[in-house]
Amino acid sequence: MKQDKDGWLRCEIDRKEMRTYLKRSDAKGLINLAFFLVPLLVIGYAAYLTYDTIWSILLFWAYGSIYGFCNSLLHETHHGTPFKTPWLNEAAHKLAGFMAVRNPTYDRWVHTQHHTETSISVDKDPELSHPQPINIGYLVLDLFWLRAAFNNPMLLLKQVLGQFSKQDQEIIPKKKFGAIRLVAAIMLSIYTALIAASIIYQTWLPLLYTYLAHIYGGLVPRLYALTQHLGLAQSVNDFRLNSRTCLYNPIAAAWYWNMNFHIEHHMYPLVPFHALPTLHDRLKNQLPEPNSSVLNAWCEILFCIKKQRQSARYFIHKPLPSDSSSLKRSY
Amino acid sequence: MSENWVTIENTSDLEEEDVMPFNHDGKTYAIYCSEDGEYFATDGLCTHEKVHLADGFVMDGIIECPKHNGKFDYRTGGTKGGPVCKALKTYEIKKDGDVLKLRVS
Repeated sequence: MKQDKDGWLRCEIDRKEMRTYLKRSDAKGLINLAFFLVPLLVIGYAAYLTYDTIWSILLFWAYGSIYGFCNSLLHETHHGTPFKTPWLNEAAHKLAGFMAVRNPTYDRWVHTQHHTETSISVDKDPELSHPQPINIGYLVLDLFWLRAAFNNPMLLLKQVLGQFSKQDQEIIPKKKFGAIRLVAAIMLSIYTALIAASIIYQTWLPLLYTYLAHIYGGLVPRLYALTQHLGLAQSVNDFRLNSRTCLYNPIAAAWYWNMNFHIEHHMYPLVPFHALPTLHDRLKNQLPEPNSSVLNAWCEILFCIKKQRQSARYFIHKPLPSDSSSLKRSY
Repeated sequence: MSENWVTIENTSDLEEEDVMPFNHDGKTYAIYCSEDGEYFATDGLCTHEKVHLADGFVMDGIIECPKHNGKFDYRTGGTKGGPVCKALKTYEIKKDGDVLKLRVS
């Protein structure tokens, strides 16, 4: 291990070897994007064809369960790594932001701050949604996207009105507010048009395929995504302790853009999704044991919640390899 | 050392579209080799969060900071993508026979 100039511990890896992991690929990005979009289109169409039957309930649930992984696409495109060609990345970024009801331009700044101050505190990390001790009520609301259902559109409206919080003003240069407002206005206009279409044509379909998909189908993607930091240490400069790596099945991992390798991602955020499994194999002897599945991760999280009822300061401490030590890199 | 030119060691490891760190007199630099085999030099630390750019990603004249993907044109030091707002200082670099030399302030 080494401690970098930003104060965070990272695994030792040869610079030349790291170069090989940084290579980007349009082909790999497009294949993974197709793996996400094509099932959505196919299942979405099937749900439309069966709309007046009971089968549509199952099909819409399947659609929503995949749709929610748009948050993972948004995250990956925040980093600019899934594609080699920049405009492909930005196009996917905007699409994902719209699908997720999150302003992609704004969210990229927030996510940057999350990488600077990962799980340090609520004041420093704007993505720290579940500070210790975990609030079970908020967790349940988030599993069903119920906080975001209100907060996300409200945030867009505030952005259009130029209302930025104190934290926003600290982490985002003022000259960037204009672009954020513009994107928020475009997004709200499209969603308003969808609502108008629903009313005019007396059909729920425009909203079922977009905003409502997060509510009726968001549980599955949220179960996968909430494992990233939940229940782990906070206020530490060690990604091995504040982030969780889980081994997911290949389908979920693909929809999740391999963000289940979350320790590796935080240590080396420039590594594109397709290289994360290889990076994990390379570094695993310097890292804690990964959770074997999403179920295993949630057993760990639920255990933490139970323990926190006795001691609010309890958190999951991941055993580290015995020979890991921190070294200072000299410049 | 004349006109503040210092020799950069271990440049044999520097491939095309690559970057390496170089330290001299308490300061750190990033040395780049472009796709065309030309050499450039900038301050080593990102102007956003003081992370070393030698761990970053080089492509098409751009260096991306390894922590937040902030982009600079390493040939001019200019910013090319957020969250970086402040340009990088660039330095003269030249090939003297088989040796690379950096002009330090």
